[in-house]
Amino acid sequence: MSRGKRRHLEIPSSASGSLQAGPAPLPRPSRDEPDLELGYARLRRLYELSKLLTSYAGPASVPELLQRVARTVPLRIALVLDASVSPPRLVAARAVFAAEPELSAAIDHARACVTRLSGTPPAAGLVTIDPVPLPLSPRLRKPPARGRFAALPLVQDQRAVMGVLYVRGGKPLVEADLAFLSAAADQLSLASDRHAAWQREIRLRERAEALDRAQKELIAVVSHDLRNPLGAVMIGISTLRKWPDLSAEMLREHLDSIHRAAERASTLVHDLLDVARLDAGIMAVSLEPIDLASAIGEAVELMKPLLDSRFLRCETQVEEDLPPVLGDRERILQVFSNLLGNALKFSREGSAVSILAWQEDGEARCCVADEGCGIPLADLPRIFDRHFQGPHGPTAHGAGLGLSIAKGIVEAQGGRIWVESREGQGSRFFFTVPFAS
Amino acid sequence: MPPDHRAFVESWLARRVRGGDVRVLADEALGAVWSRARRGLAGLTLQALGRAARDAAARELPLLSDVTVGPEGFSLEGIPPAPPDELRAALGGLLIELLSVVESTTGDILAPALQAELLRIGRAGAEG
Repeated sequence: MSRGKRRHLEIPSSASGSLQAGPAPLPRPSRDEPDLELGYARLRRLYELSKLLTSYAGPASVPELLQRVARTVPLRIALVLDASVSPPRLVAARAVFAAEPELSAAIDHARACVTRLSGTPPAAGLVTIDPVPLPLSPRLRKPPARGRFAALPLVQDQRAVMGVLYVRGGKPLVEADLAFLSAAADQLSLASDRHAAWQREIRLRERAEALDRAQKELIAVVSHDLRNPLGAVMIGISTLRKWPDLSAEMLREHLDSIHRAAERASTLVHDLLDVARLDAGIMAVSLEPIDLASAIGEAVELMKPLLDSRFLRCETQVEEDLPPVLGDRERILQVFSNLLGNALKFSREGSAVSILAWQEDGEARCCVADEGCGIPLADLPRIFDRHFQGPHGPTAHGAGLGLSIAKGIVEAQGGRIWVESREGQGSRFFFTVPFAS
Repeated sequence: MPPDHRAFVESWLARRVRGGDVRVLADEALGAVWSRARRGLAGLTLQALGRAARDAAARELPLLSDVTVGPEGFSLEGIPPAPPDELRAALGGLLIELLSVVESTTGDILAPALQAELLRIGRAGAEG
């Protein structure tokens, strides 16, 4: 609106004496009202901007936004900084007739504005859009002339400053420019909030679907894998009740069979409990310094009867003077037990299983290797998935939980687990444990 | 050279606060400045600037920690009873920070208009 020449939109005289059906359309300003014309154009641009932002898809949408903003207000530079990371990161920039050093100076100034708005102390270092910091001339180091820039905060959840829309005008900016730019910044903040809420919604839905799948799998496991050993126990007991006068040898055979079935059921229940703990994030590990050599010795001792039953040779090799690791002894034994159990299932009778431990990259590495049938390349990415059974499974040996539990335990202790394998050439399972010191 | 908002606000306060109710003056001044700023800035942007000003001022003047910032502007309702001198200092601190934060983010596009608005507040009666 030009000074001293305030104009109002007038109601047509024809409408004054009678009631009309619905409001009269907003008259488009005529060419002799340039301020009103400009305001109208900006309103239209703002409307277009809000339409654009309804399909906001994260940072990828920002360049288009900057382009639209610069189409409305004549700008040399327009950029968006993400202040949720330190130092603030450049999301996108648009420079018209501005060389890279000027853009770099603008980013620095935008960063200072973020500091002012968020109240956080400035992080050290020069923000650049180039890996090599650009030397700035004294002229560019100075903030731009007053009235030539604006730094509009971008807020998250309508509160915390999470970035800034920063612009430098080609000519001095006026309050109407500021109003438009500020409205654009608000639209971007709201669009970003909507996008984040949508992303959260997707994650929650995925998690709910995963839980649903896990529940179904659990029911399948309980109804199949747990029913089998329990059925064996019940049949064994009913046999004993039916023929109480069995010979001592047959009696022992039946009792052994019942014991094995009960043991299988017990192992499965323990595994399911561990899986539930991992799902709930309450897998308790009491970390303490552990001598890995003695833990490996104990694990082999525990598995010896099973290894012997398949005539498997077990070789261990632990690096001398390996420092103590920080872990939960019982859980580390469980990891070795699960990995050895896995090796046992897929090894040929009479072959070798090796356990190695050594120091590498500041952590302890363990390896359980077998000479078994190996894992097909396509199955490797899923080998630690719950209930995953390779082409040689499902077997009567388990429910496919051992490796996923081993992974959960290793990660709960701050380590990593992975496998190297080739079909027909055996497998090598590696895992790491941090040192105690 | 950037304007000296402290000198401006101190001078304004010295002329306006003469035996009047500081809390009433604070409400009026902050309300008027907010309304004026709202013409040039959108709601979320202005609230973010208001919070930045409140947080910066509250570091020196803890009384201001209880000031809330909402779509309608600053609310001083949460400020506990305090001697007039402390209230005066708090009001001054908040105004100085608000002008400074507007200045440092929008150059002189808006700050002079806010100063002009402030000059109109409490004129009647205070200077007479």
